[in-house]
Amino acid sequence: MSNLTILYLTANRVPEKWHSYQMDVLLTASNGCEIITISREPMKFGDKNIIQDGGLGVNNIYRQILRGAKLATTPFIAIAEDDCLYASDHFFAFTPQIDEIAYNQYRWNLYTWAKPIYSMEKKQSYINAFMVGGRLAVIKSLEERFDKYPLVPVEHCNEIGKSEKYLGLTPAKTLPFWSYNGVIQIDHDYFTNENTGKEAIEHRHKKQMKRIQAYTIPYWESPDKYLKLFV
Amino acid sequence: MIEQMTVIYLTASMLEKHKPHFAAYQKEVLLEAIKDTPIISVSREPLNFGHNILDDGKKCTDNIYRQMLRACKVAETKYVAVAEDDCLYHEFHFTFRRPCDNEVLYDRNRATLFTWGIPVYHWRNRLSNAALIAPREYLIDALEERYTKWPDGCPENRVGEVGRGMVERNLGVGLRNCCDTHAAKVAFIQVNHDWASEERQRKHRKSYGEIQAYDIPYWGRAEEILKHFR
Repeated sequence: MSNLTILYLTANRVPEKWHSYQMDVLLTASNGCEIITISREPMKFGDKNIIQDGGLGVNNIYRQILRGAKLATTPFIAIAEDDCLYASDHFFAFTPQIDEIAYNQYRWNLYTWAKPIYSMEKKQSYINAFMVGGRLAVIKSLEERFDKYPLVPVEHCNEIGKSEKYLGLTPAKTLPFWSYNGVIQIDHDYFTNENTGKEAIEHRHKKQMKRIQAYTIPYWESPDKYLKLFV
Repeated sequence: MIEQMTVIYLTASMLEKHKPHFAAYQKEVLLEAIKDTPIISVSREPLNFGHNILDDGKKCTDNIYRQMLRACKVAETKYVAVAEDDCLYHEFHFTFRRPCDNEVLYDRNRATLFTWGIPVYHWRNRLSNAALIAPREYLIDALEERYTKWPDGCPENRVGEVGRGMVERNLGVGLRNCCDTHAAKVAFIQVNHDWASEERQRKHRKSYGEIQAYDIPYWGRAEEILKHFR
């Protein structure tokens, strides 16, 4: 039995073809560990399903993660998001200490509106979708956050480890790690209701591709098939 | 021509001798990138490539920096860029950014290829002299400071890139400003091979970098680039 539970976050907004494919990939990568799906609509995916009970927005994402973390029973949890592709080594090649929260740095971005090129930068970044951490450490950090701020200021409501010093909270023990195969994050236009307007989309499409670029990468090969699913 | 720039081309003349096809290809690629930018080549054997200086020192890491200092003094432009004989450069490498007058710059978009093992580009998290672009006078000042402190040569186990804090602390010289957070839009490629000065390359003891790709913009598939090395 695995010591990890995957909290799978979806707002049920991504295209159906993609969603189905992405869940298959996730299921393979999960190596049979428990999956708790946190969705806006009921879903038959994973072992348990939590229906998101708040509005759309970043505060609620972390509230739902807290719910999922409390429902899980394993010592470690990992986040999986519906616009990312994971290989199993992302979840299992590195285990942080029980009181640590780790973020995978090996992240390729794919823009659905641009040429089919993977891109990335060698800058350390902590992204929620690539978090693997001690379950109790996540609970402790998020409970402290929401106890102090029922509504966290949006500019500081982000990944565990990023904003504690601004919010006057206990610093989380965070660290970066690198998986052997990369993870893929799709940048697309199906985020939330707030940023799907014409202006938001135009602004997003001006985003520059990152400097390290590739047409074909180990494990995932060419990006064409992923982008074709995302329509 | 790249304005105010001289390219310092470093070669131990080993590839010229053992891999002449690659040596010719590499220079062709470099010329395409820099056009008629002045070149000062430093080689062990006479080389008809830019203004040629014969390397007069023993083969060691310290000597590479001594030869760079000689070349910097021959150059006349405000900036110099190092080009090594086992690297393939794109124009963007030389133009993507200019360092300030008191800093050295390293292009972080360096893809490495091994001539052994799996043909895959990979990126390591380390500075390389092959990626250096510097204001000429600032670089001269930094290198002269080293050789004032170490007139008989810097210790081999301490010498390394200008601007690397650990190297400069170990040498007991002033810490130079180093801009190492920027990357050109197209990677430059460094080929690791059996005729390199670095022992780890010759003995195939280097590990792959974390970021890996088979096929990248501008250069194409790794195995196609490596065909030039056969």
